[in-house]
Amino acid sequence: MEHHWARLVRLARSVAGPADAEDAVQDALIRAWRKLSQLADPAAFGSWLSRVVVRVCLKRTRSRASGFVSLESVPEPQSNPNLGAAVDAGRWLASLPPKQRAVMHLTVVEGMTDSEIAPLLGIAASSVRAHRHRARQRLERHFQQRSAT
Amino acid sequence: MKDSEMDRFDEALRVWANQVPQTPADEAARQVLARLPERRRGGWLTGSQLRLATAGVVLALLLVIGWATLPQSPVPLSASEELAQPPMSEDVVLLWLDSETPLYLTVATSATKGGSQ
Repeated sequence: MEHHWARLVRLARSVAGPADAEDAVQDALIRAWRKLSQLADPAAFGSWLSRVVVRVCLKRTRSRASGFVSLESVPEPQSNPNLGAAVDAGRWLASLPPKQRAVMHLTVVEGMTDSEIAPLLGIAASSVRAHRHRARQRLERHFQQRSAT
Repeated sequence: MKDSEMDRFDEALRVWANQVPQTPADEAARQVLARLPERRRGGWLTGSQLRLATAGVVLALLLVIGWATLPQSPVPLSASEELAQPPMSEDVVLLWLDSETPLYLTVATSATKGGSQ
């Protein structure tokens, strides 16, 4: 579990938000422990765990009233030269719908391909591309609005 | 929008996402393990409890099946059936060879014995 902890918390932070991330991963680990017998391929343990975490995070975001993370809940990284830009990026990510957050995280942070992301989210690779395209469009509008002000 | 701007954003997103978790991994592992038995006690049967419950269900089923398949006791003759027997005189003795086979024996009395004097 320790091997996967940091990676799973990163994923949960992006999808469920910083305030819920660690609790969501703990819930996912308990759920995974119960369903361990369903894991057909032990070599796929890491991606299987990621899938469980994504499901738990998506369920949590659905149960919240808006499904969006509060910008105030984004913690400020300490002693980091890219402090401002990183916080902005986190806040922008929090403004996206949950599946777009997951796609952006898995693409940008984890460097995964569409065919690797698709089974994690339970959607087709073409849907992964569509989610990323919409997120990028939104980001472009964000930059345009920022440069206009 | 310039690609470099998008690249800078991606790098900022990686920095934000790669923050170290507030809870160390070993502490998180301890917390998860502490939650597992609690969940089991709350609503999940352990292996031995499950086996005991299964044995109880099987035993109850056997009792019900045994009760349903018990041989039925012979039904006693009703009053009307007893009345349906033919009237017999005092010198007739009725013996039942089995439940369906009556044997009527006529016993000689003084009136029928030895002829007339």
